[in-house]
Parts: sequence; C-alpha cells; structure tokens
Amino acid sequence: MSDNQGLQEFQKTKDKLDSVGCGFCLAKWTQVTIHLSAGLTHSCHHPVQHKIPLSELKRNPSALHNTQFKKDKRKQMLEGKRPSECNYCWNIEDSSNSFSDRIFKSTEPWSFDQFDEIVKSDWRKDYNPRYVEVSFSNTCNFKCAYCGPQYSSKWVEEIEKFGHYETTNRFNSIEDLKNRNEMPYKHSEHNPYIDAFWEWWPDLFKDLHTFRITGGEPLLSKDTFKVLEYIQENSNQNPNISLAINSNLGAPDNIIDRFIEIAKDLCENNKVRELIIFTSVEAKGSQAEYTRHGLDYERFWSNVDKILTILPKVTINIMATFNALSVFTYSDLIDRVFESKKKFANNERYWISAIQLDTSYLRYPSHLSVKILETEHKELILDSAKKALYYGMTEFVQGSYGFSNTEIQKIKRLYDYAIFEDDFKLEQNRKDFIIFVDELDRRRETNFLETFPQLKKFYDTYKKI
Amino acid sequence: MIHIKKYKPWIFYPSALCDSYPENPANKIISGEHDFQLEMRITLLDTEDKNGTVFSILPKYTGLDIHKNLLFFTVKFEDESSQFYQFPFTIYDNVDIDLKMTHVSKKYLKITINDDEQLNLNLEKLGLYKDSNPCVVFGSNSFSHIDENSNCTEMEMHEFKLYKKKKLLAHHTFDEFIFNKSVDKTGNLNFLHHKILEC
Repeated sequence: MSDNQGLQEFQKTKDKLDSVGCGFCLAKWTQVTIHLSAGLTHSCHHPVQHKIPLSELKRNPSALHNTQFKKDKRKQMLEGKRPSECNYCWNIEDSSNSFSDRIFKSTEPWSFDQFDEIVKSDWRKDYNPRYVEVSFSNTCNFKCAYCGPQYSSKWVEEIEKFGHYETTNRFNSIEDLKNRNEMPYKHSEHNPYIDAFWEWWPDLFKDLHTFRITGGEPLLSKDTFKVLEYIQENSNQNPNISLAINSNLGAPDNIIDRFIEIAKDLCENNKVRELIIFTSVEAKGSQAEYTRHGLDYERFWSNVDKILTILPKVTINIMATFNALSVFTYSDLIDRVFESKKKFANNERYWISAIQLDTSYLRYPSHLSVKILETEHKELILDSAKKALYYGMTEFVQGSYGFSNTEIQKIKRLYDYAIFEDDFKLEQNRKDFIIFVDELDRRRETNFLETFPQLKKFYDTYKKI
Repeated sequence: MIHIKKYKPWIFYPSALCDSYPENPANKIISGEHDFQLEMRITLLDTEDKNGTVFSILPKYTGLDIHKNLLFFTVKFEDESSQFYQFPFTIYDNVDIDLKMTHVSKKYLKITINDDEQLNLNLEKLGLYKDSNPCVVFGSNSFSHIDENSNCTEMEMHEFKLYKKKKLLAHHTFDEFIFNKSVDKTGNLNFLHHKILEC
C-alpha cells in the first residue's frame, strides 16, 4: 500500500468512526491486554489499566475484558462522548492534523470488520475481543534493570529483601504497588483471575484473530503450555489464529525444547496462521547481562539459532528497550542481528525476516533513559543508525535479508529522542542513576564501572553532586 | 573501483531504503530545480558494435548511451519532451572517460568528457525535467527489471561524485563496502548499491 493509499484508508476509518461519535474507537471492544497475575485490564495500552472486580467475574468470566468500567466507556463512545481515560488520543487529535491511535487501531482489518456489529449492539452486551494479550503470571527468572515486581517475581524477591531503591520516585516500591491494589498474586497463591480465564477461553478462542502471551517469563508458566496444547488439540476450531509469545529465551533447556517441539507441530501442521516469538535484548555481552540480570548472552543467541533452525517458518522479533546502558554496544548487537538475518533467510518465514530488531526508547524509569547521557555518548547512536542503514535491505521481498525501513527509522529516531530538549529532569535523573547503580551493585554483587568503563568519567562527575 | 558486470547494474538511490534516513538524500537534487554536478570516472568495456547504457537518470530518462562505438546523450525536459545528442568521436573498449555533467537551473546543462566540452544546452526557455525522487543507474536503462531490453553494458567505475553547487554531497572511490553498498566517503550516507546480495 502506498503512503497515499494508507492515508486515504485512515481517513475513511476516521470518517466512519466519527459518524458514530468523535470519541468512538473499536479497540474498546476488539482488543484487550489482561494481566491475570494482578487482575488488571485495559483495551489498548494508552488508558491506565484498571482492576477487574472479582464480583463481576463470578457472574461472567468475560469480565476480564467486559468490565462494567469498560462498558461505561463504551456507552460514552456510542453517545458521541470522549472517555477521559483515552486522552492520549484526544491530545493528538486536538493539537495536530495527525491520525491518533484510535484510527490506526480501528483500521486493523480484524477490528474494522466488526464496525457494524458493534454500532448496532447494546453497550451492555459482552463482546469477545479479536486481539488478546495475556500475562498469566509475573514469574520470571530475570530482573531487568528497567522492570519491576509487577512483571518479575525475581524483582519481588529483591524488593522484599532490600526494599525499594532510594531514588526520587522510590523505584520499584512494593508498598506503592500494594497501595494501588496492583500487587501480583504469588505463584503459590490461588488466583481467581486465572480460573476465570480458563472458564472463558473455549468461547474466546474460536473468535480470536491474534493471541499473544506475555509475562513474567511465559515459558515458566504452566498456563502457557496449557494454552499451546489446547491450540494443538483444537486447531480445527480456529486454524487461522495468529499466535505470538514473548520469552526472554533464558528458561532451562528442557522447557525451551518442549516449547520448540509444540511450536514445530503448530507450524508444520498449519494449526496456526502464524507464530511469532518476541524476545528482548538491547546490548552485547556483559553489558547486556548487567541490564537484563539473569541473561546469559551466548546462551540467548544459541537459543535464537536453535529456534530459527528448527522452526523455518517462525520469525523472532527482538523488542529492544534502548536505554542509557545500550549505547556502547548497540552497534555490536546490530552486527549480530544482521548475521542471523543472513544465516536464516529463507522463503518460508511467516514474516519477511527471520529476525527483526524492533528498537524503542525507554522512558521509565527515567533515570535509565538515554537522555541522562553526555552528548559524546549520544553521538554513538548515530554510528548504530549508520550501520543499520548500510545493512539495509534494498528489496523487501521473501528470501532477501537486511534491516528494513522501519527497523532503521526506529534506530535513527533514538538519536532524535536523546537530543530533544523537553522537560526531562536531567540533574535529578543523573543523580538517581548513580544511586541506582550503586545500590544495584551492592544487592547483586555486580560491578558497574568494570562493566561500563566508558561511563567512569560520567559516574565520577555525578557521584560528587 | 567497481566492476559493473553486464546485467548487474549499480544504482545511486540513497532515498530508496529508508523514508527518513539519510535526512537529505542527495539523489533528490538531481532535478531541474537544483544546481548540481555529477562527476564520474569510468572505463567502458563493452563498446564494440554494441548498444548499452552507461548511466541513466530515472524515471525521467536522461543519460549516456553507447550505440555502435558512438556516444549519445539523451535529455528529458520539463515539458516531458526528449532530445538526444551524438558526441563527435568514436569510443572503444578500455577507454577511460572522465565525465562531468553540470546543471544550473534554468540556465544551462553542460557535459564535458576528459575536459572537452561536448554539450552546452541553454535551458533558459525550456528547463531540465523535474522529479522529486530520481535515481541514477549505472550500466543499464532500468533497475527493477533487468533483461535483454535493459541495454546493459559492462564497465569499471573508479570514482563518483555529486555536488550541490560547490558542496560535495556524495563521494565514492569504492574502497569500502558494507553489505551490497559502497560507503559514501563524505559521511552523508549517500551510498551506491547493487541488487546482488554480496559484494
């Protein structure tokens, strides 16, 4: 689709949505992210997630998506109002001529084809979403520097032992999480949200376009394998499902192998339309291992190779959360990704590339943002962007390899973000960064300056403040 | 130096790969509204009674062609009309050509070969073609579909430069390659590339 065709398509969607109301968005019905470990839900990632009342679940397991809270927002949308929780989109629409995510999300074919049914439906009616993202548990064997107790049981252990970090915003405070009623259930505790999911699942499955499992580390959850085995056995009910699974690829070998075996059956026997594996890494070697505590960098790549070899249709997408500790070796990571793109290129993949590097910048916790760095460090991002450009794919067709337009743009965008002067609290965040790495080293017996000698001068400067 | 083999053209099209990077791809100035100069040092290797395209600026075809040991330069104008000009000498294999194509908007287009002026077109009444995203193909009249109709030829290219007025925007002496691309010595990321996956 050309840019112009795309714009026309988005305008068509906007006109149709606006014919119902200026706040109408199909995502409120057609998609959902559910954190079962804490009983939280939201339709898209812009509105803050809200608690799912257990009382509603008792009557209706689909309240994992169809909460009374969400139905009220749907009512507002159908009555031409704009729910305030969606102000991310209203800000964009009111301050520019750009299309907001309301338009992009509603344009998705699996969403847009539901338009008539949704408009005709009563706002009280339960609705099965087409795109579902589920986190069964916060059980995780990693405690990445930018993550927290909500998504990592390892972080829970650390905070319970040592308390929160004494940064300005009390980084990873469990008390704050409890005060917001967002503390995840422990692995050993009975979780009624999981019960509700399994009650709802047979009805949900047949309508799904995309099902994505996130975590924690999904491969450490028995519910992940229960879902995969269900799909194996019931694929005739929905053979066109797009399945996506997040993994840090650091689970024990027997678990990785069990997953690959099931994935092989799903792919080879066309029990899914596609299977995409999402993982994460944003630096090389010891610097990557410092940021993603629990990671064995070489084992990670060994598992990438294993998956791409045994599963010739699967694409691995690396969701890189670029942060202050990524700048020095991101260029090396690009080399490694390119090597895999080349090695595993074939004409069978569900997506064009065997492996993709999807770079986004870290905003929170702000003390780990790339913005804290000196200009000379930020300039290194341009070296990465140049490398990605020269590794660029001149033809976006099956069998070719190289970095795509989007992958390159996202790396270049990092630099623009890093140097853009906004209301970022530079001095405070630099101070918090020093507090954070000092405390991290103390708790984990790591050595920041040995791992990041390039930041010695930076560390010494801001340590004194 | 790069050896441009028959049916394996190279292309100067740095805007082709990424929408926003490089931020000011130099191929976009090879158009009637800009002052630019293209320079190339080449050795032709397939001229004997052959047809071939030395270089072509696309999609508004403007470029240098070989026809039976003669060189012809085709110009597309802003009204979409075309004109071709025969140069008054014969060429042979292994002859070195140092070509400069100098364009000053709405004034003139000059072609010099080995420091001799071969063409001086007055553009005051009818300017050069205008195009927002042109590319330069070396060794063919096409890049997307290469076949026997693509007028392919064989040559060596030793150097390529592109200036905007006096400012050097792209410079290649073909000393460094990454993937299927020649690295731009100016650092402006105005690479040359070819379709073959490996250099």
